[in-house]
Formats: sequence, structure tokens, C-alpha cells
Amino acid sequence: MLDPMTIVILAILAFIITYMTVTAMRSRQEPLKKKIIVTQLKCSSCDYSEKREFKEGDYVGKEVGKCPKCSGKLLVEAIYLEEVEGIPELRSAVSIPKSSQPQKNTGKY
Amino acid sequence: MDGSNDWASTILVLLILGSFLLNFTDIPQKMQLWRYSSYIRKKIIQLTEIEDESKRKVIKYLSRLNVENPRKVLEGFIDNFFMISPVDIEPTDIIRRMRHLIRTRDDLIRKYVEENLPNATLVQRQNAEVLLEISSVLTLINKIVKHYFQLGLKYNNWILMMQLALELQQIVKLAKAYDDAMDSFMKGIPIGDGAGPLVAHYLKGNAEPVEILKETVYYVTEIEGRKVYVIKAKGPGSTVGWPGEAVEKIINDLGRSVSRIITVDAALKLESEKTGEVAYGVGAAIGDPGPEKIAIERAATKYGIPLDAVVIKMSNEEAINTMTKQVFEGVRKAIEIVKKIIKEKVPKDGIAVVVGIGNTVGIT
Repeated sequence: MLDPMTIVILAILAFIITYMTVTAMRSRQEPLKKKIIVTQLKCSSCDYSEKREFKEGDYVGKEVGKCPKCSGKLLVEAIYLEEVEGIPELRSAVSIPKSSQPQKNTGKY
Repeated sequence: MDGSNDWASTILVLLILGSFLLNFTDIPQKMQLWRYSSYIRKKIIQLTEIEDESKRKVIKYLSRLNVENPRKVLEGFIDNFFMISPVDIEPTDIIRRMRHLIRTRDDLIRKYVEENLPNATLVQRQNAEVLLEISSVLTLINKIVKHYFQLGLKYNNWILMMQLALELQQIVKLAKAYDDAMDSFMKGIPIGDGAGPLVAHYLKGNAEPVEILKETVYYVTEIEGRKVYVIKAKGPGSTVGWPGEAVEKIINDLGRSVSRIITVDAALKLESEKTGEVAYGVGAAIGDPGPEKIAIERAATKYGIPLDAVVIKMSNEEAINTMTKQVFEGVRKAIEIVKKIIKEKVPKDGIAVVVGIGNTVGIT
């Protein structure tokens, strides 16, 4: 039969070990959010628009070809970072920059 | 004596001893110092890795532009090109002096990059300038952290160590953001701070650019039946241009015929605010050290022209990294607000000046 003081000390020890383990595990968990840089193209003459993965050399306002619908100028309308879930055809995407991922404050020093 | 009494006596002795150690020795402070310094050491390793990574990126970019000795170019830039702030205890002319110093520094950097990248295009040189600046900033951050760390150790200043340790999580996050931002500048991708120039890009429509100052252009277009002068930095290279001086020039030419000056810029959000929120108010929305902002305010005051400000909110990290979809959606909202201001506050025969403030990388 354990005396009450031993039980208290064991409980404190168990609490400390659990707390430290949980804190360490939390700090290791990193959210797996995948994002991709998207180039949005738009025809200057009609309402045609499409999205594709960003290619080096793209910039907003750049003429990238002819519109498949009306042969008008196809221009880069926008370039931005978007979550992959929204664009199934682009799932092979690159990962989000580290700094854009939310970071958890572990409170450890 | 039974077992429980033994325990009670031991605990009592330990408590008294512990209390003595905690209250009458500097062991707790030494332990804090040791704890915080070990945490700071780990973070300094992380900062050094970020700094080295940024240097590797600059060297890779310069190598791609066929620079003979990229390491030498980088080392010649870091630690140099600092600017000493003008005297402020005598404020007369401080803006003119500050503008002079900022421009002198900019010219020096431009010349340094031109000399070392003679075959690069203007866009590549502008992007290289920003990459060198970022690498220089990361080196400086690392140096400052190491300075306070060594100072804390030298004088056993555990309070300084604690303050540094508490700040370091934010500092490392900012350093990572700067390092990630380099990818955007290397590839010429619009960043969050480009929200202002992007609004200007959409508002200008098909108008042709007129270069009013170095790296700064304006467009004359029609919005809601009103004549609008749209000012922005000249893209798609990485530059912010001289929007303040451009406004001053245009207002001095047009005088009182201008009914409204509208500045659009990215603004740092509070933690409780959402990225991409748009707000409007009064004043010059521009985050420069002073000369550009005061130029807009002075021009507006001289002719009594109301100044409107439209801001798109984002975090510091989002402002320097690839533009996110939320910021882009904010740009769309900002365009509608600018159009509404023009429609409601500019008479049919009036003129409005819209200024898109920010870095125009990846935006023409």
C-alpha cells in the first residue's frame, strides 16, 4: 500500500512528463497546407479567361498569346497564391513558402 | 516514527532549503540565463541558416545573369551603403535633406548594380538590387541578435536575455518571410505590397504610360466619365518609384482643376483583422520615411484638394511575399471603392489623380 505522499509525488511526476510530451509533440506538428502560384489569363476582347500554374517570365499585363475563342490578345490578368484544393488539375503543385504557414507558439524557451 | 512522518520531514526540509536557495542566492537567475541562452543559441543557428540561404539565392541569381564573381559582388554590398539619418534637433529643411540622402543612396546602389551587371536588363537589375538589400537586411538582423546575446552573456544580464528570447520568435518569423520573399523577386512575382500598383494597373485600362520621373509613370484615362491621372511605379521590375514627387509635378501642372487625390496602398493589419479587408479614409496612404508622403500632402494643401486614402490590409509577411488570393480579392474591392469615390466626389468635368503606392514587381 502506497502512502499519500508517494501518490502525490507520482501524480506530479506524471503530470510533468505528460505536459512536456504534449508540448513537444505540438511543436512538431506542421500544417500540410499546399498552395500554388496561379497565373490568371484573360482575353482583352471577349470574356474568355483561364487559370494555369505560374511560369517564370509571367507578369501582370504581359501578352501571352491569342484567345482560343476570338483570337484577341490573351493577357496575364493576375498572379497570386492560391490553395490547391480549389484547382484539382493543378494538384501536382509546389508547397507554400514556410513563412506563410501558420506557426504555433509553443511557449518554450 | 512511521513512513508518512519521514516524508513530511523530508518535504519540509526540502521546502526550507528550496526557499533559501530561491530567495538568498542568484541560482534561479543563473538557471534562467542558462535556459534563455540555450534557446537563443538555437535561434541564432536558425537565423544564420536563413542568412546563408539568402546569400546562396543571391549568388545563384547573379550567376544566372553571368556575373563573373557573384560572391564578391554580394560581399561588396553587405555592410556597405548604409544611410545616416539627417540631424533632427534642427528640423528646418529636414525633408529636403532626407530626400537628398535617400536619393544619393539609391543612386549609389543603382550605379553599383549597373557596374557589376552590365549585361542585365533593367528589370533584372532592379530585382538584383532588392535581392542584395534583403540579404543585407538578414545579415544585419543576425548581427543585432548576436550583439544583444553576447552582451547579455558578458554582463550576466538575464533580463536582457529574457527579452531577447521573447522577441526572437517574431524576429525569426520575419527573417523567414524575407528569405521566402527572395523567391518572388527572383521570379518577378507580384508581392502583397504590390496591391496599390495592381489597383492602378486595372484602373489605367488601355492607356499608354508616360514617364514622369525615373521609374515612375502616369496614365491618362477615363473612369465613370471623369478624367483620371493614374500614377504608379514603372513595372514589371522591382521598384516603388517616386510617387510623391510625381503627384507634386502633376498637381503643379493641373492646379485647382484637380478635384480629388486618391492614394491606394497596402496597410499592415492588426492581428484581429482579416487579410484583404479594405478601408478608406483621409490622408496620404504611403509608408515612406517622409519625403514622398509630405510631397503629396503639400501639393494637396497648396491647392486645397481633398486627399482620400484607400488601404488593403495584410500582415507584414504577406506584404513582402507572393500576393495571396485574399489580397488579390482586396484589390478587386479597392477598385470598386476608388470608382465609387470618383463617381460621388468628382464632378463630371473634374479631374482625379489616383496613385497606386507600393512595389510594382511583376506588374506593368
